[in-house]
Amino acid sequence: MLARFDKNMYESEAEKIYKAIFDTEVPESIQKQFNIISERIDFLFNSEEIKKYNKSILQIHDLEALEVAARYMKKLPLLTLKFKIMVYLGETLPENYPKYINENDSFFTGFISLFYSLIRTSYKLVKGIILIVINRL
Amino acid sequence: MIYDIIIVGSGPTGVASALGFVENGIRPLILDVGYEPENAEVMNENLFDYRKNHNSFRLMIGEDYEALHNLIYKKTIFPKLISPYMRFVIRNAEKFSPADENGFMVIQSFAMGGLANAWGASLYRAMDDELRYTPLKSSDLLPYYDRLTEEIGISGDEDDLTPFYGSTKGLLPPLGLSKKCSILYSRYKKKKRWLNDHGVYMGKPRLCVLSKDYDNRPGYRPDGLESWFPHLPYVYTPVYTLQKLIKQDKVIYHKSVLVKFWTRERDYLVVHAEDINSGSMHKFQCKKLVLAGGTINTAKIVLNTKKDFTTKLPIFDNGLAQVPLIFPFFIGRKFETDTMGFESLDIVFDFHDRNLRLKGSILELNFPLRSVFYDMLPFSGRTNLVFIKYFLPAVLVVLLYFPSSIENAGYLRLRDNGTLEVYSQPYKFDKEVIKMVSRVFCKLGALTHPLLIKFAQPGFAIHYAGTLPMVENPVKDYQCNKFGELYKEPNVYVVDGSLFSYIPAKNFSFTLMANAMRIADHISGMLKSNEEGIN
Repeated sequence: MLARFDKNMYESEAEKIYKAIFDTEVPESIQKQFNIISERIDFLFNSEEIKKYNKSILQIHDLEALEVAARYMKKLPLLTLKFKIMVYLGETLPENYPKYINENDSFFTGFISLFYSLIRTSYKLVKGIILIVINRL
Repeated sequence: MIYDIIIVGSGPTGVASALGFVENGIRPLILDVGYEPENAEVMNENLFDYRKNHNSFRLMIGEDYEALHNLIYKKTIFPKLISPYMRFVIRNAEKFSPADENGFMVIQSFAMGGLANAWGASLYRAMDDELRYTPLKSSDLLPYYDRLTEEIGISGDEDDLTPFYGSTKGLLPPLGLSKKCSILYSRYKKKKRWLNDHGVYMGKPRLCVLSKDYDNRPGYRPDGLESWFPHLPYVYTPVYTLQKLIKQDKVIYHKSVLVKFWTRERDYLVVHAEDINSGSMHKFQCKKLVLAGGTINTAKIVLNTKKDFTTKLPIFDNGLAQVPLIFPFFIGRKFETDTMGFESLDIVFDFHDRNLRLKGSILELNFPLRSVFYDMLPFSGRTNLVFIKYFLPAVLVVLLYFPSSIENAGYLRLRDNGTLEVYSQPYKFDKEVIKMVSRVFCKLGALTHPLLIKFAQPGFAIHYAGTLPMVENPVKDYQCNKFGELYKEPNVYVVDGSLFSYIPAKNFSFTLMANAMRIADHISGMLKSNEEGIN
């Protein structure tokens, strides 16, 4: 059996990951669904990977930066997977619908949003790499 | 009781052959596992509209988290099958037919209607040059194509692709185009001369999607359900014909049995099948056995009957490349929620100098779960979401099919523990051809680049074929004659994709169905002449 912290650990990770992606508090329904699937997938990872994942959830504030850097550096596979799962779960909420589907016609808004996001992602990538190196993740 | 005919399987070829027998006055017995959708819930509104107002966890992810399968497990399944409502299509496939996939993706179905429950809905006639490795000519199949067109209800058009897709007889009007596809098609028409000179042709696909009410089924409505729900009334699947035949008592449908092998008595065959609920074995006797279990499962039944655990049978599939087309002026545009989930436009690349013909199916990226695209984007979490929202409405995707080839063939072998070993090297794609294809799309005003093209692993197209090839004069085991009869196995007929050792760069299901019906006609004639001889 792999070592988890406790039930609060799941709740904490759901909160932090949801916040990192959607910038709002995690709804209770998503938290429950996330906990169920988390319990299932943790067994697919070895204890070292879980240890590093737990460390990142507890110690790193900017999980979005950490995740994008981890993806490029092929580290923290559990974090990457849980981000993806949260994106899937988040999509099922009606309040998140506008975050996935564009309902308005605006080339200008779209173009500016993409441009800004690209700059932001570059910043997050650099920050994430630094976080991984400093924290030896 | 000795049945005249036993058909194994209820996929497109099983049902087409059943229809052929019924029209000859013969009542066949169909043996099938026959899983059906577990939830018959039908939505009456556009899926995207529903999602705006309702929590769609059960609908989009599923109570057992089915939609997360490809994220979590190493063995990926075809995107359309991740819908919780489509999972019956592959239910217990790994249990009933375990496969050791070595570079070749194996998808099998034991559902009523088989993999056609989740098919791409395109149905094309074969041209003579596409049947060149078989003893057939397209004229042999013509009456069956026409009969099936009437049965199915196929939409399409008389256009530049008619020389590649064959007769338009009996077609329903074509379906409409999305904004981007309309623009692409009008650009093609403007540059048609140059494109045609370079072997490029564009037109409407032939789809078994009703463009108007037909045969008591309603015409297509843009509800976004086609990638997510089975058995929509406007999308034909063989299940419709099968249910009709069962209701009319013209076939006997025996479900919940898995055919394992056959044995031979003096003047009849004995089919041995396992009851999937009790595990007990049952025997069914027949004069003639028709194998329509799908290329992989039919090969398995044949190998198992012969207790042959060494022979490696060839297996073919279409090579598949996914080409994104970017329309920059559609960035930030409203997402079209009323476009169709099937291909809207087709493009054919007929490279005479290379003796190569490719076909591209052009689709909108309107797959209901937008999160599927998250995995394909390289940015941070929030930026990926921004790209899903603003960038995806500017993208079309082309599924570019390559013909099968000896060079890209795999093999299949049955191990003595019942596991199938399916092997293939990664397919080789001609880089020059890829560059030419990219240039053509750029000429049509869509941005793309060879580096953006993703090549699917062998088996991903799920157009399996060629394990038991049909040849003019069979001379060795595992070959079939022109009527699908297996070499040295009298009265055992193969009617599915196993017969074709070459598949052109297009969906071949319609040709497999027409051929199954042709073989059924031939067998019926033999049965009748035998009876007349006896009388």
